[in-house]
Amino acid sequence: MNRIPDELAALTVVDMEGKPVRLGALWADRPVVLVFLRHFG
Amino acid sequence: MFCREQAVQVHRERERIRRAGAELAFVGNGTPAFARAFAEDYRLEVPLYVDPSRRTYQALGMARPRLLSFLSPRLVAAAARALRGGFVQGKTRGDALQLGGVLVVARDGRVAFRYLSRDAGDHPPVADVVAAAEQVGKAA
Repeated sequence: MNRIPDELAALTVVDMEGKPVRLGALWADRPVVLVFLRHFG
Repeated sequence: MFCREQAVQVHRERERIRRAGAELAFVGNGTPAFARAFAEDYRLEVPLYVDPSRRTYQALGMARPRLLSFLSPRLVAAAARALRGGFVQGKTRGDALQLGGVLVVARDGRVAFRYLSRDAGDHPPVADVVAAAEQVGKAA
């Protein structure tokens, strides 16, 4: 995967207030280091 | 334990990542309440998101192995390492079998770095993650 496909960028994650956020929004303003954790705790 | 170990190690480098012009963010697979508790416990100063559906994990190619393959010799060695480092497994919050990974993504969506964990104790070297952030930050 050289570039995140648009359909993948359109998937949503949820912020800590419970609001949905497009995955692509996470790198829209600046590059992002995205750490996908296994689980909390 | 691995999850905490990795989160804390990468989090320590947040200022370097920001100086490079990039941001650090975590995605977990529990609920927002678990994410808030996790952020408080570890005094995380970076954005934290959750994907309880794990759809982003799956779409990015992160595996959810069956239980038997989960118990590999590599994992036992990594558990010993994490315990020596003082990381103790708390109550699991989220899907215990879902594996994670690390992506560094440029503003145009280009993937500058991608690491998919092969088992629970498998993480990329933090130095490699920071180097990728510095490279992509410079280019942005």
